[in-house]
Amino acid sequence: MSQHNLTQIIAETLELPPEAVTADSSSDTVEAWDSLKHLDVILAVEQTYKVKFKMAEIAHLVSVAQLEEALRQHNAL
Amino acid sequence: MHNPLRPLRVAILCSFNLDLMTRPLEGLLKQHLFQPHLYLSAYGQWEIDPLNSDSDLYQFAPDIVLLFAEFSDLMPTANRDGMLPLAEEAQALGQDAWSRVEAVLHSLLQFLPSHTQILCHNLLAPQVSSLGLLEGNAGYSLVTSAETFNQNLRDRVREESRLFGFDYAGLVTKHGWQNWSDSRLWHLGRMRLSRTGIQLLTHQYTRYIKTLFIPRRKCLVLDLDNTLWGGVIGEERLFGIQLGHEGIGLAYREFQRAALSLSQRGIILAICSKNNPQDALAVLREHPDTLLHPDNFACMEINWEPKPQNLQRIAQTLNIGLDSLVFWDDSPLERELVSHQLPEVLVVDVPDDPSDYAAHLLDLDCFDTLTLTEADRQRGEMYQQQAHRQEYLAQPQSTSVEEFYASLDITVMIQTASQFDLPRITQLTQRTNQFNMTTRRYTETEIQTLASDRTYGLYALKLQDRFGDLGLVGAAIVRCELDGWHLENLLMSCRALGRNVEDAFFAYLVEQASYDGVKLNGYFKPSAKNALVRTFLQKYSLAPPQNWPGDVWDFVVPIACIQFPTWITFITEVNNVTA
Repeated sequence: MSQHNLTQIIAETLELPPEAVTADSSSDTVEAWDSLKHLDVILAVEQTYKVKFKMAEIAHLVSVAQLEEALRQHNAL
Repeated sequence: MHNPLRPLRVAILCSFNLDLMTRPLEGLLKQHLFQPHLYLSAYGQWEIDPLNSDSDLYQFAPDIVLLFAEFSDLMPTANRDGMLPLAEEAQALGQDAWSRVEAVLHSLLQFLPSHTQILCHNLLAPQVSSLGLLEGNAGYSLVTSAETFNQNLRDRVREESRLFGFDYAGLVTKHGWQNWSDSRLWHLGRMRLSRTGIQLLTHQYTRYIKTLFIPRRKCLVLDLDNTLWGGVIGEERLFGIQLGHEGIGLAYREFQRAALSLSQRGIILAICSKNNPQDALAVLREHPDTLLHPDNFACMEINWEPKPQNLQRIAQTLNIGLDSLVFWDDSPLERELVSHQLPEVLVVDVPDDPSDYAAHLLDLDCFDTLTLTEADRQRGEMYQQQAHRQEYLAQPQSTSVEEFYASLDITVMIQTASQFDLPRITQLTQRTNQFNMTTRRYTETEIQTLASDRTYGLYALKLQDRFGDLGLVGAAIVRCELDGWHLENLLMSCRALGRNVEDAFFAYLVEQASYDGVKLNGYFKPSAKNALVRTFLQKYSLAPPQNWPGDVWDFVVPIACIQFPTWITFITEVNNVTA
């Protein structure tokens, strides 16, 4: 799956228009991406890519780039 | 067809963080034509909110409250600290947990608007517990605690009409604990459900909520070959078909049992099959392993005509709408034909493997109900009597109409509704479409309120004829004012129509009003389905003109305008309304 898809999933989960999340977005740049929504984002990504992140990973995966990297590590990209 | 969204205010009181559910639940309720407005108790407030009559919860004025207290939150000590409760202690823990929830329920019932309905979760003991294999082996048992709680809940539900049990334990068990829990979410955000758990719970909440507001379907129409048995009776003959205690035959037998159990839940069974009737009936009469017999079906259309025509005939014979039918046929072609030609009929997406038939049938949500009246249990029998009546009515009659009606031995009893009648009256207001003057639906709570309101008269009509007892088939809701009696609604079950019983009811009400020194004022709200009411009113010149554009037509019934049908034996035991 492409990165385009990843940003789309994040935007949809955060209830934002697709263009609001881009490759360099993170919880710092997107206001709606708060700590509760972050769990929602993680779960949506997990379900789409059929992966399961460790608890310790979850807290760090707060940007599109980091999520992408983690998905690659899990051989899901 | 235009379906306006139904506004719905739902409050969720949950013992842990359920924030992630609000969006999916809103979305799903919208798909089901609700316009939802959600309230979720703040973390740790589920128990405190309801106790305070000034709380935001009551300001919110919900239509439905979902009460979700989780085992581990209600009994934190039970599954922790290496504590091993003995059997008696386990029971006491369950009892304490129930007391907490009962206190919440008590406040809710006291402070919520009277129409609000409550769905309360039962408990499931954690499936990964501190007891390990000792669970059930050493007198210790968390299951005992859960069961004690659940028994209390069942008892309370039985005595409180606004309270329903939500079978959480059954739901989790069905889908599996492992899919349900996600300990990461608990550790990070005090959430006890996995994403899958949230999605499944969202669906189940929606299913229960729909059941509270949307009338269920009344009739299951079954095909025969490869539905009630394996094989084709016309080719394989009586002992060639598969029906029995082994393999494929067992799958069909279990499907028959599932259909029988639906009929005990008040669903009417009917047959629609392309066959020679004598071949097909031989199976139901003579096959040693058939559980279903001709008696179990209110109506059978076994012939070579197109199925849509037969379905229409079934609806006519039973006097129910096509939108009350559910069609089960193994042939995708027949299913396609019916869905295409009769979109009102619900066509079941039948599984490919007969092994899955029984479970699929039992889990269909179109037959869901949260209450079962005595009338429901007897419904199958009643509709069979109905079919016999139709046969009788279809015979060529040599006598006059009056003599013919008289031969039916119709007895009508009209009474002020008793407590026992209220559930059935509620049901009539919710399910009756054809002879329903205003099509206003009432909840059981509303009906109870009316029954205890002295300005209201609530009348129940019961009917018998030579074919059997039809039970409570008519209801009238009358507001008795000084300026007149206002008939807020008059309704008759479709199975009672065609005998002028509604005329007797009407005549009775007019007469009662005149005893009170006033006239009867009626209201007719035309709907897509209640044209029968118009025909009825036309008989008395009380109907609105054709193409009258208004919403509610009101009329005053002149005293003595209505003759009591002479062929009806009439019994009345009315308590004085104003007493």
